[in-house]
Formats: sequence, C-alpha cells, structure tokens
Amino acid sequence: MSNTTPDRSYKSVIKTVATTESTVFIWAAIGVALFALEASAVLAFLMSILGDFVVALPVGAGGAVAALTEFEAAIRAVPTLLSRETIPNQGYWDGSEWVGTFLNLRPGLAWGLRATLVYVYAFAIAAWVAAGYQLYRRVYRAANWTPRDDVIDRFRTHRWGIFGLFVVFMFVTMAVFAPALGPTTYEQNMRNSYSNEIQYFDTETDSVETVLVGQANRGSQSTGDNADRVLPMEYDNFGRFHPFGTLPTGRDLFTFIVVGSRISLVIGLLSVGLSALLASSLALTAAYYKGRVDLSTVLISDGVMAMPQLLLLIMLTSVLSGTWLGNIYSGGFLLALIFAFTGWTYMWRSLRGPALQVSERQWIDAARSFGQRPLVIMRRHMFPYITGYMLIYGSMTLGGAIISIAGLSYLGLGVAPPTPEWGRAINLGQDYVRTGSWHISLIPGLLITLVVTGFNALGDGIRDAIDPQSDAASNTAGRGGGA
Amino acid sequence: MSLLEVRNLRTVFHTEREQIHAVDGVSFDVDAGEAVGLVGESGSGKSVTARSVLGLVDEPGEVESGSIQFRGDELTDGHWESHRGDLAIVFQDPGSALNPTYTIGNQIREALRIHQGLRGKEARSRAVELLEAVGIPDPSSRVDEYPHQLSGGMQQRAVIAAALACDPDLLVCDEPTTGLDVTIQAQILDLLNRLRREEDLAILLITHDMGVIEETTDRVNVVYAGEVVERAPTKELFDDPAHPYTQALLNSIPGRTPPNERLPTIDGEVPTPTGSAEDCRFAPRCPEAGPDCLADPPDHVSVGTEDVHHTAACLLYDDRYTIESEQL
Amino acid sequence: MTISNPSSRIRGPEQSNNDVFLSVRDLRMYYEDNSLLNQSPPVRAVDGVNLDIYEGETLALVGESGSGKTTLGRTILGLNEATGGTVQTDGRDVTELSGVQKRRWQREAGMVFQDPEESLNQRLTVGEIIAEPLEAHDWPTVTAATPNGSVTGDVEPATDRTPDIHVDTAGATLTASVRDRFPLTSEDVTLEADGDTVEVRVEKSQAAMREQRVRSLLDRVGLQEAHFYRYPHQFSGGQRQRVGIARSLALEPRFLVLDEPVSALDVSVQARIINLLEDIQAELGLTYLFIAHDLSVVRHIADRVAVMYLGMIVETGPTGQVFNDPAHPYTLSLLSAIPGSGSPWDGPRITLRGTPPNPRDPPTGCPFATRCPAKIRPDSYDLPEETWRAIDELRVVFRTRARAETGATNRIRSLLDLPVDSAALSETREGVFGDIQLPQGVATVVEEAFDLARMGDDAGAAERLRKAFGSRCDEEHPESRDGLRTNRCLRREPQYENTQSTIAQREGEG
Repeated sequence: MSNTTPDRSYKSVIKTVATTESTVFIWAAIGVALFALEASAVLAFLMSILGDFVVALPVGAGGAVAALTEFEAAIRAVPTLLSRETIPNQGYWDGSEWVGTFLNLRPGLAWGLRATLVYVYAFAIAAWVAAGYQLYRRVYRAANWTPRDDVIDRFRTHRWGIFGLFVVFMFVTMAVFAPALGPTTYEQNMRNSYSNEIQYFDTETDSVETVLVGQANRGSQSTGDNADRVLPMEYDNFGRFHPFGTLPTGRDLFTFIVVGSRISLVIGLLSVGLSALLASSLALTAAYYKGRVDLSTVLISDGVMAMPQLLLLIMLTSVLSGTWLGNIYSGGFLLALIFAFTGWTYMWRSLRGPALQVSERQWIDAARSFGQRPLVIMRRHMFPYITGYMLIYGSMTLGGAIISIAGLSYLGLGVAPPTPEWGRAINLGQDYVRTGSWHISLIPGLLITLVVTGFNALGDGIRDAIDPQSDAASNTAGRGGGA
Repeated sequence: MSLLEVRNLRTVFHTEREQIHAVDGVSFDVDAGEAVGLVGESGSGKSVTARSVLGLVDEPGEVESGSIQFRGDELTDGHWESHRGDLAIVFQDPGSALNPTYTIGNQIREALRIHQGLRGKEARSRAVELLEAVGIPDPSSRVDEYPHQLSGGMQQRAVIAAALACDPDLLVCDEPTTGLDVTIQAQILDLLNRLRREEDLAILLITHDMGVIEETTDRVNVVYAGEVVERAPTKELFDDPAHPYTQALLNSIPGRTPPNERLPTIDGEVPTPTGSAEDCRFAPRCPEAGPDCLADPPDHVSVGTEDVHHTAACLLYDDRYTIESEQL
Repeated sequence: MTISNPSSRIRGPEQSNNDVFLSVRDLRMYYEDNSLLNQSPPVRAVDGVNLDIYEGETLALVGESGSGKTTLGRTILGLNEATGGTVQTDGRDVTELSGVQKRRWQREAGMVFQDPEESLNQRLTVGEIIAEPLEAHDWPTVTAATPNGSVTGDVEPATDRTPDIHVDTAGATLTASVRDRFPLTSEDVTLEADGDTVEVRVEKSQAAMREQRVRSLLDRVGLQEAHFYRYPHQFSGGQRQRVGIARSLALEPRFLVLDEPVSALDVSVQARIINLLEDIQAELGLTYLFIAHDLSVVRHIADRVAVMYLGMIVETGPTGQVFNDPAHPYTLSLLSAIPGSGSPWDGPRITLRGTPPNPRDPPTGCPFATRCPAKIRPDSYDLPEETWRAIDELRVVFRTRARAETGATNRIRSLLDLPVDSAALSETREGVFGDIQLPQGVATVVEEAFDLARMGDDAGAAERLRKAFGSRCDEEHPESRDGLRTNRCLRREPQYENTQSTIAQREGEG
C-alpha cells in the first residue's frame, strides 16, 4: 500500500495542535456560529419531544408538563435565523405595498428566500461536518489510513450514489425544518383554521379586510376546474402564496407535504432502525452459534414471513387505535412497531449470509482461543463487517417503508387523519387527476417516487463503495503475486 | 532456436499512486523438452512473468516492452491467439482453477473441443485417456465426477490433464504444488518429470520452493524484485551459488543449518519496484554490498567455468568494479 | 531483541528430567454432521490419541491434510469440543472445563494461527489486536505478597503464581519490588503499613499498564512503536505473523499451540520467524506444540516429533532419532517425499500411491494399510511386489466405488440383476493390471470380485479381495504405548523384518 509515503502513522496530538491550532479554532468557531443561529429551535424541539413522552405516559404528571411547556415557551422566545419571525412571508397588500413580509417583498419571494436560506444553512452544516472530517483525517487521526477511507473515497466518485445522497439530504432537511419551510403552519392553516385570522386586500372593497383562515380556505379550494382553484406557484384570492397549490379543502399543499414528510421520515427511521437492530442481533447470534440456534432462527423468520403483513397492520391498527400506543404520533409509532416486527425478516435474510461468512474467518477463532466473550466477539469482530450491508439494505428498506406508509395512508389506514401524510394527499386528489386540479395527486406522487429512488440510489452507492473485492488486503496485483 | 525466448520483458502495473514494475527486464530461454525454473519469493514478479508469457495480464497491468518469442514468432502485439494451443498453464490452487458446477470430464472436453475439435464419444475417450495419463486411478468413473469429489492432489492432476488436452509444447506451472501435501507434491512432481520424458514436454516451473526446483528442473533463474539475478544449470546453482541473494536464500532453508544453530537471515523486506532499476535492488539488504552497488545497476556476468552457462547480475563478479563491502 | 545462547535451550526429556506438562489420553474428536436430513457417519478427525508433552519442550505434530493435527491442537486448547478422552494438565482435565475455569486455562495456553492475513481483524489497529486478550481478561489484576502478613488496597493477594509486587517488610522502610516484564516500576507503587497488613496503592491505571505491555510486546517480536497505530494490511506477511505471536504472548501463557505458523511465509521470512520463536521460547520458558507439515522446519525447531495419520498418532520420538531411523512406513514415506538436497532424508524415495481414506469411513485395522509400502503380505501367496500393488489398488478402487453414489440407471440394473457398467469395469481391469500376469489362484479370485462388481456389489467385491489377500494389517491396529519412542506399526513385533529394510528390499525389486 503506502510503502513510499512518509511515515505519519504515529503523531503526538500535542505537536499537531500546535501547528494547526488556527485551523481547528476557525472550524470550531464556525460550528458554534452555525449552531447559535438555530440553537433555540433545536432546544425547543427536544423539549417538545420530551413533552410528548411525558404526556403519553399513562401516569400523566401534570405539574411536569406545565413546567416543560413554560420552559419551551421561554426557549422559543429566543430568535433564530430560520424562523418564520425572522423572515416572515405572511403579509398582506395594503394598496401600495406589502406589509408584514420580509423587507416588504411579495410573499412568494419572501417565502422563497426563507426556503432557500433553510437549504443553504443545511448545506453549510453538511460542508462544515465534511470539513471537520477532512481535518480529522488529515491531521489529527493517529492512523495514516483506515479501511473506511477507501470506502469514502470510492463513494465520492459514484455519481448515482451522490445523487441519492443529495435527494435524501434534501428530504431530511425538509422534514427537520418543516415548520420553517412552509408558507404557513399546520396549526394555523389546518388544525386551528377557525381560530386564526389573516388580513388581505379585498379588491372589491379596496381595503384591508380580516378573515378567518378557515373561511379563506373555503375560498381557495381546488376542486377540479373551479374558478377559485389555486395551482402551484400561485396566489390565492386572499393574497396568500401557495408553492404547490391548494388541496380540495383549500389548505396549503406545500405545508401539508412538509409536515407529512416528517411523519414519513420518523416512522421510516424508527421501523428500519428497529428492524436493523433485531435483524443484526439475530443474524450475529445465529452465525456465531450456528447449528440449532441458526436453524431455529430460520424457522422463526419463515414463520414471521408467512404472516400477511398488510392484514396484520389493518387488524392491529384498528384494534389498538384507541389505546395509548395507538395515539403516540397519531398512530405512527404503532405503525413503525408493526413494520419493524413483521419486516425484520428481509434484512435478516440479507445479513445472514455475510454474518456466516464472517464467522468463518480465522480471527474469530483467534478471539475464542484467548477466551473472549461471545458478545464482545459479535460486537467487535463480526458486526463491523455487516454494517455495510446493513446500510445498503437499510436505505433500501427505508424507501420501501415510505412507500408502504404512503400506500396505507392512501387507503385510509395507517396514519390517522387529519395528520398530514403524502399518501393521503394522493387520495385527496385522486378524483381530480384529469382535471384542472391535477397538481394535488401528481406532486406528492412525484415526490414519493423521487425520495424512494433517492434512497435506493444511496443504497446502491454505499454497496458499490463497500465492494469487498476492492477491499484493503487484496491489492496484490502490484506486488507481483506469488505465494 | 529455443522453444521460448523471453528478452527484456517489462510488465508494469499502473495504480493510482505509483507505477509498479513487477517484471523489469527479465530474460530467459526454454528449450524443447527441458524444465526451466523461475524461483523467487513473493513480490519477486515470477507469477506475473508467467502470466505475461501467456498473455494473461489484465488491467491495470500491461506488458510494456520486451519480446516473447515462441518458435521464432513474436507473441506480444496480440499474437497470442495463434499459439494458444501450444502453451498451457497450470495454476496454484486447483480448487479455484476448476469450475465447481461442471464435471471434470466436461471441463477437459471443453479444452478438447476448442483446441482439437473433438466432440462426443471421441472427446470422452480422449478425456479418459488424459486422466489416465496423469495417473488418476479408475479414470472412467472419475471423468464424471465433480471437482469437490476429488482430493486436492487429484484436482491438480485433473487440471494438468486439462492443460494437456491442447497438446501443448510448453507447460507453464505456477506454483503447482504449493499448498499440497508433501506426498502428493512428490506424486505431482513425478508426474511432471514423466510427462517431460515421455511427451517431450517443456516445462517452465515457477515456485518459491528451492527443493522443488532442485528436483524437477534442468536450469533455473533466480528472480528478485522483478529482475533475474542469477541464471545457471540447477546443479551448478545449488553447488555453487554466486549471487549474494541466492546464497542467502539457500542458507535460509532450515535443512541446511544444523538444528541447534540459529538460522541465517536477511534483514529488510523485498522492495516493491516502483521505477526502472537505477541500482542493484538487493543492495540495501546485501551483506556484501559496497557504495558502487547503489549507483549502478549490475549486468549479468559470467561466473564459473567457460562451458557452463552460469551468470549472475552482481558487481562482485564484474571485473570493472572492486567492491569493498561496508555497512550500508 | 536478545539473542539467547541456543545450547541453553531446554532440550526435552532426553537431557533433563522435566515434568509432563500436558497428558492426552484416548482423545477423540468427531465432527457430527447429523441434521434432521443427513445421517452420515461422523468425520473422525481425532481418533484415539495418546500424547505427553513435557515442560519446556517443543513437540512437533506432523501430518498431511486430513491427519487431524490442527484439530488436535485446537481441541487441546478448547476451541473444539472433545467427543471423548481426556487432556490432563495441572491435575485437571481441560476438556471438561467451562466458565471461569476454562478462561483460566485459556490464559495459560495461547495459539498462533497459520494465516497471518486471516487471523487478524483487518479493522483493528495492531495495538488494539494485541491488547484484546488483555481486555478480555481484565488484565492486569495486580497481585502482591509480603512475607509475613497480608496485603490490601489496589492489589489482590498472590495465590499460585509469582506475585507481581513483592513487599519487603524487613528493615526500617517498606520496599516494593516489581517482577520482570510487568509494566510497573517501584515508583508507581505506594505502600503503607498497618500492623501486619500492608496497603498497596498502584498509581498507574489499568489502561496505561496495558498500553505499556503492548508496546513491550511489539518490541519483543521485533516491530516498532510506530506500528501501534497501523492496520494489518499495511504490513508484510512476516510482520503480521509477528503481531499474531505478540498477541498470543499477551497474557503470559506457559504453553503455545503453533498451527503451521510459518507455512504461509517465504523462506527467508520463515527463517526470521523461526529464530524469533526459538528466542522467545528460551527467554520465557515456554512449551510449544508445533503443528507443521514441513519436515525440514520441524527438524530444525523440534525436540520431539509425533507423526499423525488419519486422526491417529503413528510414531513419536526425539526428532533426530525419528528422522534418521524412522520406524513407521508412513514416517518414512513422508521423509522420502521431501524434495531437494536440503531434505533430512537420504534414503530411497517412496512415492505413495493413492490418497488417504475417507475419515468418515476409515478402514478396519491399520489406517495406512491401503497405501503402505511395507505392508505385511499374507503367506499364502508369493507374488512380486508389482502384483501386490496392483491388487491393493484394485481394492481401493472397489472401496471407492462402493462409497460413491450409484446413478439411478445402475441401481435399477443391479436390482434387475443386469450387469452394471461392465465396459468401465473392463477398462479398470486393464488399467490396474496392464501386462501383469496373474497366477491361476489369484486370477480366479480377481475374476470373482469383478463379477460381483458387475452385479453392482462393489462392497462385496472389495470384501472378496480382502478375504483372499488381506493380512494382519487389515485386521489389527496395535495400541499405542507410552514412552519416548512409540510406533504403531505391526512390524515393531520382533518376528517381522523392520520397516526400512523391507522397503529397501521392495524398492529394489520393483
């Protein structure tokens, strides 16, 4: 490998800090700055999760909830860069100019500015992480080269994989920044539409009027070829900008989509994460002990695979819909659990082969010879060799999970209405596909396709990058071969 | 004219980081019916040489320069196809040389079909003949067996049978017995000797095992870091090695040192040749090296008596230099 | 790296009265293949082995593939579970151990593996690889002892082994002395006396002690400190094997099983590793079980040698004696097969015919009988050696065919009493006997056997030949005896001519 490069394999950290102090400080400073821009939002989010959990507990601790809500409100008071307050887009025309939007721009532009800024911020964070990694790898890390480096280098030149990574990144950003991305919010536009008011310039009366959001929605419904319909990138009759148009109920489709993306992502991640955990534990155990353990795992997995997943889903969601389990995250948690416990078999099957292969390697024997414990052997000597496969199948399964969830929501099962979900948007628009309101089904449909393709592409990229053929030790072509 | 003449063969591997001159100016001859050895350790380039002779070098490697002449025909420049049936190769690991999903009879018949145009019953009986020729007992039942049903030694014999199917004039054997048990190795070497005598088959034997070389070959070339450093008739080499590397190699053999003495060793590692030689590649590890050795690449000079073709690429024997060895 | 005086190396029982360190009795290890679907007989990897290993010696275990030598080494170490028999050391049977006791044994015994590329986890650095045994055993638990009194604090009282810290209470001040090769100095230890009890505090963390131990091991095997952070693939084969050796030494074992440690290395690298192993053995007083198939290496490094064939030990003895004067025909065949002038054998060259029998179905009697060049021939026939060999070959052919799966057509044919495969059989007859003229009695029997085979009864054919041409070698396999020089060939009995002269005679004939 690197017979000719200078030996930097052992460096004292102190020495390197002294020479590259400035670089590290700059990098750290940038990190702090980036974080500060969004600090309160992150904290508030964590608080809300905590709050959800506390609420969900059967033993509702009333006092604790109140305290948490107050704390959360206090945090929210701190301004952040990407919030709706900093760059507002919900303004109204007062006859001469736009009032209430950022720099008095048109709402569409203000929204576009904020959305772009969100993505710029996200990419900035990504770049910062990448820069940090480079710094670590080039300077700080004691080892000159690790097996992971080859994988990352190979991935960097894999165009399809980079495309997948890009799409997935955009999707995740959308989900994470959902409240800030939409032109309006879920609360205001959908949940409590009759408790919120907006102002608009009424062309008939030539003055600024106030109206309930719910009523405004009723005036902006896209139901086929009606006059009031709002197509993508249009303003409705009330001066509101709709990047994706409106739903048949008049609600903003873009907001619906971004909030729905959160649910899809969370459920997907949760179910795939659980599946992976289950599948890898079983695969490693079966591969280590082999024999009867392996056989029984195979039987169990065959049994689980024989169960009809869809029917089980329908049955369990309806049976458990009223319970506390079914209420977490609008039934999303339950969905994730069911997906995980019926879907782990696919991943297990894929991981079993590599796990068995690893278990035959001699270093496992070596570890057993000096009395290493089985759990440690599985974790340290076997697991790293299947993580690659886990990533591959995990990313593909995630795509599959998102499609399944959308499908279920389309059928009305799955995530309970009125919680937004992409599949439901398709359902809502299905009657209008061939009409002037084609956008309602088409846009979520395209997005689902894009996101799932993105996940699959990412999986492809990772698989090619990990390709064990080109793995470290077998570069003997240049060494002249021989015994 | 020799059957095979290799002159100044250079095979280079173009990797991202560097150019590796795996074979860097190797020359040797093989005459009809004789066994010539290429001996060296890993990293010496001997396997790549074998593959280059057969035209089996793939990306990122290529035969950069030099000539390989078979019966006077130049094989480089893509002329291998016309001589495919005259040269055959046997590789190290018979388990991977045989396709596990076909019977060995099938695989031999494949070679027969391609090179001799035999089919059907003819092909089958010839396959059985070949299996018998390589000493597989009960060949008529063996011909329908799958590789995994045969032991390692039998598999290697089957591989040799397939190689013989094209009726070659030269058999290149790349570590044919490495990894096989010593008694099986003895059988295979006996077989090779017999084939050489009975079929007048020339053999190019590549190995790292000096004992095998001594048993089986008439002449031997010692390879180090892509170059041939010594060339001699086998007996001569073992009785009177000239090049310091050859001497060190022979000394490392455990059988040549009494049991209660420490084995003599060579310090350092075999270098990866990443550029044309500008000096003696063995010099950094050579106990006899002097400053000139790091300045000029050595040419082959004759050592030993006139009629014996024994040459070594070492400045010690080159009259133009006087080497006083120092600690380098 | 210290260079020891080779002559001070412990040379085994012929020169000193060393104790038996490990005693193997009737050890058996069978690989069961019994799943619900497959009821084949088990593979008898180790089939009744008796062996003694003396303290401080290097015992070589030689044999070819399928001899069971690797399995034997692994079973002694506890990597494979023994099917029967005992391995006694230190008053206990290590095949029966489990849990804490087993881990104790695994501290005392280490293993060096054959393939340096495969035996190291590519994703761990060298430092991590060598440190792993230390971590697995929570090393070190520092032990201390003081002549009259007890110790408390960061240390455990020393039980059987030498204490790591010796506290000297004689004289006015307390002094601590740390034993050699332990990663502590006396400055790291603070002592406080409290009557008869001494409180010992160790100022160095376990992690620091481990790191120092790893570094000293790296140094011991000839690698550099810088290599601590490197990954295995960045090293050459010889260096990787050094890492493997360092790892096996981490827990200060008394006994090492070395499974072909130099087979995968080039000859010059091999020499260095052999020297290293000898140095380490002398310095640390280790006992080696050296598994190998390369007899010249064995000749160099081993004090005693045990030869294995098909799961059984057929000959043992001091190396020099066995190599100069082999008693068992298999040993002789092995020795004679070594190519080149570096071979320790200068007698006639025997080329064994055929292959070892299937370990699932070993023949009755002596396992080597099917290929033995010195097989005892029955007195009833007086045939030239060539004929005997042809008959032996024919028997192997029938046995192999009996075991092989018969195709459906053949089975049907045999059921219908139709001749099976007669063309192939005639070819076989030609191939085996060629021009050999068989005397009348012999020819009849051979014909009968062929008839049976034609009816599809290959097993019957083999049995027919066995009845006629078999000898004691096919019936009996003498028991292994204790002692320094053992041999399981029937020719050890005084009425038979010894192996070497028999072979010399037959080779001269044939």
